[in-house]
Amino acid sequence: MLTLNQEEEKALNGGYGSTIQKAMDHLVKVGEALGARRMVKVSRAHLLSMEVADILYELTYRMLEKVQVRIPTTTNPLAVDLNRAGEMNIPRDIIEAMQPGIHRLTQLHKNAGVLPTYSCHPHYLHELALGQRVAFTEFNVAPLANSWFGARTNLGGQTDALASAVTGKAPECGLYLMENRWGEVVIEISGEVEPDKFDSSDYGALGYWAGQVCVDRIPVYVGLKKDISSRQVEYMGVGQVLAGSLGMMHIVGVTPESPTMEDALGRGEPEEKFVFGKKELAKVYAELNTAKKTKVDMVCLGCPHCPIEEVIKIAQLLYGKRIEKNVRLWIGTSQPTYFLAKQMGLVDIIEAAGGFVLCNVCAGTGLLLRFADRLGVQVVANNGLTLSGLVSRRTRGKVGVYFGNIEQCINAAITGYWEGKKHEI
Amino acid sequence: MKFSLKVQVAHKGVAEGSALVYRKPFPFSDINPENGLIDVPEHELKGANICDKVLVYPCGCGASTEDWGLYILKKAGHAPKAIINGRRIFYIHITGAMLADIPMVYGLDQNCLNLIRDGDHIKVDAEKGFIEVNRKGQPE
Repeated sequence: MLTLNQEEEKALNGGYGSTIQKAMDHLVKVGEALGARRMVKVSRAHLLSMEVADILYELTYRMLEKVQVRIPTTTNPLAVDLNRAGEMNIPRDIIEAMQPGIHRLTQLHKNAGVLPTYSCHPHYLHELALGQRVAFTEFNVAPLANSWFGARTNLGGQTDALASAVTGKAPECGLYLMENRWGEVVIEISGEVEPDKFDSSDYGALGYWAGQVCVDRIPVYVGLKKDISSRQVEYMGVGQVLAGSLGMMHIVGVTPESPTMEDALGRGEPEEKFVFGKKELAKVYAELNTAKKTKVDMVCLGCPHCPIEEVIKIAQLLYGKRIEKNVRLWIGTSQPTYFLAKQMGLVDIIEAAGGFVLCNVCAGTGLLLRFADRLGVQVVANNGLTLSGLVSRRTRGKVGVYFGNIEQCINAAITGYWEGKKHEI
Repeated sequence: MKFSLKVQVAHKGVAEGSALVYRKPFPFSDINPENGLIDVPEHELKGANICDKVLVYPCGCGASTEDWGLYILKKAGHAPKAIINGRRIFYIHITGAMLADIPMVYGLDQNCLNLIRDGDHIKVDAEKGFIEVNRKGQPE
């Protein structure tokens, strides 16, 4: 039974206007569906801005009409950089079709006081703390907040995040409650795959496989290197959500809530144990490498947005080189990363080689979902697994994807061809 | 054969139809809004039509666009009648069911979920919180 306090009652009864009423009504319905007993305060929200479809605007407008957000609210990237579309060789009619939608969305953000971060990484602006409750949408951000920072968020959608942004509340259910955060199954990374040498794509592959076998049971990973980075955890989280209903993971010794295996499991026994070895790793690569032709039309890095260390690596690989004439190389970054990269001369190196370092916008996933054919893209290479999990699957295989590490991707941009898979079955 | 199972309600409503069962996490984006067909290459349910079916899957998965995936299907006239999930529910799919106003229930453990088979006629009562499964050609 969900009990509301006076203020929440008032919001639900329209005392703060119709938009807040809609927001509270949504939170109450979700809370009732999941057995919440009360509302709790959340201190941050993160929204989605990438989809170019009208529906995103409709949903956003519904919750932001004539109100201001009550808590710091960040937003993920926009679909495309309108100022650079010409030099990026994006057909003019696509840009003209998207321009009004992007303008009205950014205007809406401005009016409502949404922070125009347009980044996959809201934590660049606000560090997250252990136990802090937030309302984040996006499949990279939510698992990272839960598993790396020990903050608490459900894997909400746009409407959930917006309703929390304008009320500062969320129903206390799901991953807000400790009892739903314990690990339930154990995944042991076998020494045969050499986890100390894992690439970004290997972490994505591991998370994806975990999503498939765990389905809805929170995994506890053992056998990963102790100095795993937030980026690597982020790739695992993306994989988990693309394959399963898993907004949380425990990495013993890394996740703040799990200094030991006993802590991670909540002092219970695991329901099941799995081993991730060579066979499993190869299976994921086989599944996510959907391209048939070896000729690559596009290389897309930074989905989710590249942190500075990846931009450095890309610049090192491209230094003094030139990418193949007909290949598009797009690299997505957030504002802090972009400005740092610009200052370090990395943007110039990458762009002199023929690539584009993008800021505030998606690395290309959003555009490819709708306009791959107009961009002349039949095969795209990437190092995260969003393109395999989303673009290839949603375009029903019309866009083939190569999934590998950054070196393989940059090599494909330079030669125009994907050269061999790292993991053959 | 006929049996009832108690469920938790994610979105209210009453509906009935023939079951379409998938045994793995499922994203709405696997359904083509233009015709209601699952048309992802190499999908185990490739060619299946979800229109007017009672969709049964353990839980959802996928990107944030799952939020309105079901709503798009409903607007296009190619939506399932109701949805049954397993033990837990993919958070974003609750909003999906709300926006599309499609009855959705969950709270069935693996064993219960496995009792449901393709083609079973299912009544989903997401007001009272139960489902009724009817299977033709089998004794009571």
